[in-house]
Amino acid sequence: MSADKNEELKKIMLVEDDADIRTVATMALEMVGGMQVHAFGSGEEAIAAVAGLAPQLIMLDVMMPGMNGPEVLVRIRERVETADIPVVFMTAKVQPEEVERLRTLGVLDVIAKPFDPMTLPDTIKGLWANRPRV
Amino acid sequence: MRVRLSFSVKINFILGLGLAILVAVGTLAYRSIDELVDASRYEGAALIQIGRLEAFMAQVKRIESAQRKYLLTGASGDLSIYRAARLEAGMDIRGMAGVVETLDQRRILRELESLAEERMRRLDTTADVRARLGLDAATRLISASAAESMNREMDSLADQFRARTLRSLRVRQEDTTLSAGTTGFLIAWGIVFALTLLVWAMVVIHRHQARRRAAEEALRASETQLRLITDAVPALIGYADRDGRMQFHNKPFERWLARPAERLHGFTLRNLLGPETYDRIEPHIAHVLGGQPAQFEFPFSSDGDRAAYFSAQLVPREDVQGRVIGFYLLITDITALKEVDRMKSEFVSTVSHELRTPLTSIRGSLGLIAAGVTGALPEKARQLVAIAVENCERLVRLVNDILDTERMASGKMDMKFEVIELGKLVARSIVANEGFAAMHGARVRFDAGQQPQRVRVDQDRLVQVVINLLSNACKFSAPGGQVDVAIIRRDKWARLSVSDNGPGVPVNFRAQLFERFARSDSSDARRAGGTGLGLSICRGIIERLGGRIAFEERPGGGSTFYFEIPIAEQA
Repeated sequence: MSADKNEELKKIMLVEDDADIRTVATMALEMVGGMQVHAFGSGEEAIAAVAGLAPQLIMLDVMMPGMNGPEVLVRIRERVETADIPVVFMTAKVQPEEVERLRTLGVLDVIAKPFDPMTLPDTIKGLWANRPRV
Repeated sequence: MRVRLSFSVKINFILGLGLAILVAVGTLAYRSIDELVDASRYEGAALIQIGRLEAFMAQVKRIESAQRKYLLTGASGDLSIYRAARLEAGMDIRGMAGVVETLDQRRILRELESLAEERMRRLDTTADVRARLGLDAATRLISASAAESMNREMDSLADQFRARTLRSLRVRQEDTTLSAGTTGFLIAWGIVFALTLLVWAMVVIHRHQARRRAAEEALRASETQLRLITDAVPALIGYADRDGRMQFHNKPFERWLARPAERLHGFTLRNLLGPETYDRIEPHIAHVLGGQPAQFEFPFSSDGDRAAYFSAQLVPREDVQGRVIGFYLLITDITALKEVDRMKSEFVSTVSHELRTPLTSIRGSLGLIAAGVTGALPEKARQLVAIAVENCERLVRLVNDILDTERMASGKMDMKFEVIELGKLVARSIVANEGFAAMHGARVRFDAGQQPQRVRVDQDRLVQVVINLLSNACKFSAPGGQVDVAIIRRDKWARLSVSDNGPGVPVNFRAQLFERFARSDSSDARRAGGTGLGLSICRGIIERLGGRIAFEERPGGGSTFYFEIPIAEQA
């Protein structure tokens, strides 16, 4: 992964099982944030594609049928070519202890649903800009 | 008013009275016997006196006869007999003087003795004349000595002594007889009275025993009933002494611990519950032994298999000096409640999650449309979408607030305490609320005070409270109104107040202001877009932080909401 501090965030992988949210988030990031979004409906699909896609950042839903977000994260971290890609969780379970638990798994942050589509791109860019350097 | 005396008072009274009668009768009997003994002794002494007097008088006669015989014969043998009789007579009259009683009798004896001595002296003189001058001279002397009159006088005195002694004896006997009669009478009545007291005592004892039997019967019946009730209650009821040894328990206790009564009574709680459970509840037992009731929940499994939860209430028992001598236990199985609570929490959590998922799509779509991302909207459509966005936001807040309320009610709202500067936290909250304030046309003025106030709080939760108070003040402020935020120190408390110039809180609504789903009226809630849970959550958070939250009218119109939380101790 590139460690260029000023590198602009352009390519995002979005993993979300809810098609509507996937659409809204994609539109927000692309139309408001000007980013290129590659959306996937399951963890399995995302894992299969992530190495080839090489996204700069992955937005990962926590609760998904099949592999859930944390399981997908583990699989991403297991592969050397994807291990250092920054990940942001999205979750509708916003209890503080749940959010705290997710943060300890090694992600940039946890974004609570529902999110504001107009501020979501800036939030993601802010997290990208302040990500720990490898 | 009829006074009912206790059994002990009655028995003590009867025993006291009986004892007094016994002492009185005994004293009387003793005195009476003493008098009878005295009388008997006196009678004997009197008869001896009379006997001695008779003997003395007879002796005098014998002396006189002996002297006469000597006068007639002039023989020396008769003279010796006379002289021996003289010596004996003198001894008897001296011995008699020791038993006489009255002065009169003593006088008579003295006179009698004088006369007898004079008579003896004359007899001696006559005998001496006979020996020296012969019979004729003695005969002449006898004629001149008035012997006959002396003898009569002596007889008279002896008769007087005898009569007085016998009269005194009679008087004494009469007194003794009267005294003995009176004593007998009193003793008889005393015995009758004592027998009456005995009967009374028996009646009192019998009644007391009957009452006691009835009381014991009632107590047994009451105990049986109490036992039936405590055994029927679906809770564990027990009593343990200061050492934690069970002194009472109901049937459910036995079933709970799977032990028969004989293997439960007298056993310690540590033994019954096991060291692991006992160590967990020991602080609560120490608390109740300190004199304060204790309430707590604990998991326990008597069979080591089924996990169960119990709620325990411990209440201290004190003696008359106020010392704790044990504690009562009331333990209820709350496993089902816990399960319901868990299911409720899970349900709320699931509903919350399931609501958030479609809300994310709705809010996101509306947000993009309202922002014109998908193209410009006609004015009417723009207004409608704005309404939809606003109500979508409100729905999100409602879901958040319901989740918080449930977590607070179930005690699951954990706090991460840290010491922070209150002014900085409030300033950050004001910045976060800027957009909302601008939307309502409210200006916020902040006075952080002269000194920074450090408090120990959960930052996120306190920010939630401050933003809630700020957003309320902005919502209810008049358009273009000012919201004043201030921090002051009051003793050991930091006080944050948020004041607005809105319409204030209706009087009839103030009491429920911090209750759940509290609203002054439905139109008010709609206008302000509230959930009715915000202030309730604020109160819950502030109380968890050890503070209090309240409201007061603002002079000149409007409201001031404030909370006070403890100033952090200096490290």
